[in-house]
Amino acid sequence: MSTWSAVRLVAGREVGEKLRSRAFVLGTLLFLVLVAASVALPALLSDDGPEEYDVAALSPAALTLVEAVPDDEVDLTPREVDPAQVEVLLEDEDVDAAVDVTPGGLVVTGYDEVPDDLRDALAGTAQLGGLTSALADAGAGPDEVQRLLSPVDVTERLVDDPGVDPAVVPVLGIAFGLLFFFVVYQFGFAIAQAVVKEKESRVVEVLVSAVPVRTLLYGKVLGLGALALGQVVLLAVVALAGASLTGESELVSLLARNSAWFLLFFALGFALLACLWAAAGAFASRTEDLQSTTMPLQLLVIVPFFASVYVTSEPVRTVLSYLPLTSPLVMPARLVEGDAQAWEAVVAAVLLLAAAAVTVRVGERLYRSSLLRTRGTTSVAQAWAGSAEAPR
Amino acid sequence: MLTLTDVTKSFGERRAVDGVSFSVPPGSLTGFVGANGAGKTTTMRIVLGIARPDRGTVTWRGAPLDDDARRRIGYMPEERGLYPDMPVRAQLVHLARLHGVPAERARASADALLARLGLAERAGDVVSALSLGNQQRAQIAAALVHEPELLLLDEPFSGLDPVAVDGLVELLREVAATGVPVLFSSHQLELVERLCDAVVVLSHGRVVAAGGVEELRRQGRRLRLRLVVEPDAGWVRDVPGVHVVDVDGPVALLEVDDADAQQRLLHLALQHGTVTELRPLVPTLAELYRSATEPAGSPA
Repeated sequence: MSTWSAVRLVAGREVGEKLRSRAFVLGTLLFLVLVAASVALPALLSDDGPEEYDVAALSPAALTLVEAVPDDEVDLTPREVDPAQVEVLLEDEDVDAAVDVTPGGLVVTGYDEVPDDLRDALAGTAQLGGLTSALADAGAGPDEVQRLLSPVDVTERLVDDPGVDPAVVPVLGIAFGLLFFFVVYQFGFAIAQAVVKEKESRVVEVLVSAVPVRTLLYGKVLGLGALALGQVVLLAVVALAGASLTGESELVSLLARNSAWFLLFFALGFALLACLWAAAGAFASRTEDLQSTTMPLQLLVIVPFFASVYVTSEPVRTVLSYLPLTSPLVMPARLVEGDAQAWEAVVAAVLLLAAAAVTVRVGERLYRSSLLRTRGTTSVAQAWAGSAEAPR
Repeated sequence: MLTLTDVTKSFGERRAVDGVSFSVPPGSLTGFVGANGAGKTTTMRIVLGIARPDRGTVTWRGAPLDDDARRRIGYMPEERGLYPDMPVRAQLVHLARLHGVPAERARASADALLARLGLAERAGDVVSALSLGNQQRAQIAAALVHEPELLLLDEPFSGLDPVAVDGLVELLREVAATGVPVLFSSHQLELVERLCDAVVVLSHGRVVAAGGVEELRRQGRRLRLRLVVEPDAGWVRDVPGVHVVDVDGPVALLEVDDADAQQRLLHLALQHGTVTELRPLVPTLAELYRSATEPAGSPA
């Protein structure tokens, strides 16, 4: 049997064990519900009766149309304004939108958005047959009337297209960071736990007599790593679905554009510490020892997270986005903000990969030499020195 | 045949295994005997590749034991262990597959063993829900589930009740009869004597006796006899070729050089009185063990 198929067996067992654990499944579901709720709730809660809008009518036909809109869904106040002043009025929020009737259909202009309910109310009203003559009286030609009777073409124009709400962007960076922090911490600890469980139950003796020790290590790391990545993808899908359901199309495309980067940095950032978590698990001989043996690892997850949140001054933040411990947290955030170029992300990813290659070897060596020590806890120095005694 | 040659391993200053050489022939049960700390477990771990020897070789069927061959060893560690929260059958199938057995055969083998060991009804239970006796059975199944070509069992009988011991003895005999060499360590010398074709006695990391149990009995010692002759056996001190171990009234414990001396003794006994008993005393394994380990007691 090849090493790879043994690694797959070990990984498969870890995944199966986790999926059988009710605590894990419920925890994941709760996490998903929280994410879905935080995306969807603000939109749902804002629905409180007819919205009031001041609407600038740019022609007599438009004024007639605005006045004809029934006030059950939206409450419109028509304003006759000088078309030249429209952009200023929009910018100053004196009016929420401006409407014109043109041969091509309705043109609705907003400053940075046109509310969906306002647009729908205008389009719906424009189709009402009773308006035809009133529109004609107001000077609309037969062609225009004809067009208004068929489904209405609504053209949206924005004075200033900001894309995504600028307030959302830093929040998105922190959300990425939080997600990375929680998932890496949760699954890193799960790796250490899985290792010490095998030591504590002594099943490790049977296992190492069957397969080389590194097979056990890589199987665990890959199995739990795949679960961690799966959980992140699931959360991302839920967040994207939530954002698109609530009409945040700009946000969706921003998320979609950057989630590949986020997943790459997530996978590499996880790999950076995964084997060290396993070694920390092997240092303990009982589950109770884990808190102390994993303490350095906990710090290596917590400190970079807080650094990524609180360090905002340049050029420190740019430097952090290249350093292996903080780059998985800071580089995706900089990418979302449009602050970093793709090549910068590639450089940071390569640095992270190189660092992970080192920590994986160090972790393997420490794991190998402490796995079969069943008395008390092993120190890093003992484990490092004892590797000559270690099993294959 | 598993052969160890000059296997040596030290932990720091302490030499745990010191120039150990012995063989485990196919189709036989070999007992591995020695006090706590004599080096039995370390020797087994070296065979398994869990510990590395400082010196010496382990060969299997004439070739150095490699990872592929090691995967076909069945091992029961002294410190028992299975995944406590994994169902028994799933666990056995997993272990068999780790040893390289294809999934289909792993399942069939697990089912057969569970039925054989009376665990079929508990197949879906997690190990921690089993009674201690059943956990032991599951552990035995774990050592056998990949149909090993060589069995190493570290104290397999400890913690078993007498009925379970008999069951395991029968099972091990069956396994050995298929040509699998079985090496097991035990403190229970009577059991080793009853069960084993051969023994290896380890003391302070060295092999102090090895071979067939019958051979060892004859080897290096005179035949021991118990003679009861009325009214008194004091005269035996003067018989040539007869060595007195103990005389108490009519009862004498003697060793004779050869068959001639034995005949001479019988002849004289009949002249001295009424012979009510003359029989050879076969040394027990425990006696052999003591005589083998005591002189070599302190090599340092």
